[in-house]
Amino acid sequence: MSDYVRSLLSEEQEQSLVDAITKAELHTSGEIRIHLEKSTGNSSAEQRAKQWFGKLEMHKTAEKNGVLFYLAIEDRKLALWSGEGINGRVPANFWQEIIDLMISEFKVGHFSEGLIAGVEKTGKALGEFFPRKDDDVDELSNEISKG
Amino acid sequence: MKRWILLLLLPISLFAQNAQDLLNTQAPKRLVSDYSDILSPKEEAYLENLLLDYADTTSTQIAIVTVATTGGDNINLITAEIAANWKIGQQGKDNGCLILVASGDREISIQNGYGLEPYLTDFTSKQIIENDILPEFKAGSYFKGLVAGSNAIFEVLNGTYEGKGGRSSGNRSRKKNFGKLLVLIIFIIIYLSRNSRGGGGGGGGYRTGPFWWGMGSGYTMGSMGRSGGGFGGGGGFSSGGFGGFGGGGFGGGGASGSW
Repeated sequence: MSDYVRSLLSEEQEQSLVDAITKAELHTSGEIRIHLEKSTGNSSAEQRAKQWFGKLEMHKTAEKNGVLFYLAIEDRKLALWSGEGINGRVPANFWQEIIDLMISEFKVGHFSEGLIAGVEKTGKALGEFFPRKDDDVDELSNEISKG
Repeated sequence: MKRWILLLLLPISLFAQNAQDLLNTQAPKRLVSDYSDILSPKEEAYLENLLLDYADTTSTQIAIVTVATTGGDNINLITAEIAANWKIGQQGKDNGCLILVASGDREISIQNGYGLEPYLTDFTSKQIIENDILPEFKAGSYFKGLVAGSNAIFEVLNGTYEGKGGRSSGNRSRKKNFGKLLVLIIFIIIYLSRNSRGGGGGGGGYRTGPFWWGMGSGYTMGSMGRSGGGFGGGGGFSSGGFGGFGGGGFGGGGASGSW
């Protein structure tokens, strides 16, 4: 396990975060993922989030309703990227509100809490626009990816 | 005479020494773009013909791009992004493949679209890089490495696309069967690792990482997340040459902040 990840989340917190994603996806066909990285390199956090969105194949969900939370830990940057299915449906400032909510938690060192809050709020919105169907499959892993 | 040609090529190569510049440029109307000038004009033409011939007979577009540097970016990510930006592959088929060489960084990446993923898996790409390309690079020939890599990709993909009829000899079909077996094994491994907690990072499987060559120990391999940015596209071909890339990518929207 990379040290930079553990500087942010304990093993237990990581597990509870995975559980939060699983729970958030219970009522929606949408897919949520979290990706942690050391640094954005030369890119902006949003550009990087978009790149990882593609790398994690989140654009390949059936209804294009994936949402990725991206953290560059050393750069202290957070970004979110959403699939075109969901992005067209939420209000314009919706994602920014989630980011702001998470940042306010991050600033006081509550990474796990901030991430869970963001996941829950996103799950709620996804549930509204993409309710889970009986034959829904969990298309993407809920594990937190690092790289 | 040779110098003349080099002089003529100079402005083109200055134009994109950094892979990041390619994110804002239009796709070139050719399959081989040697921006870092590691190939002779003859070698470049040979590769172009090789890939063009393959694209014409199979509809699978394989492009090769060389740059001096990735500009500090992760080579797998930037390769996938360039492929998406240029929309390599045919629309609806997502059957593009981009080989990016960052010669100054001594890194190489092979990224392919979703349509090729079942055949050209991350694992296979990694093997091609290790077994076919890097030995030639280490021996000093980028050209031989790229030809070997292209041929290896052809072999992996052979039999899975249009134009397969009449192409397979006994030897090839054995390879094909072996390839199918390999794909099956990989699927099983991915399936198992997805179902076991704490298995492969993020349950996603691995992508070829940055490879280093000529540094004594050979190369290091970083573990990466999943592969193949979404590049679909509708490239038409004309008999005279390569018609260009075209198609969709991954849209959506985002937001960001820092703490």
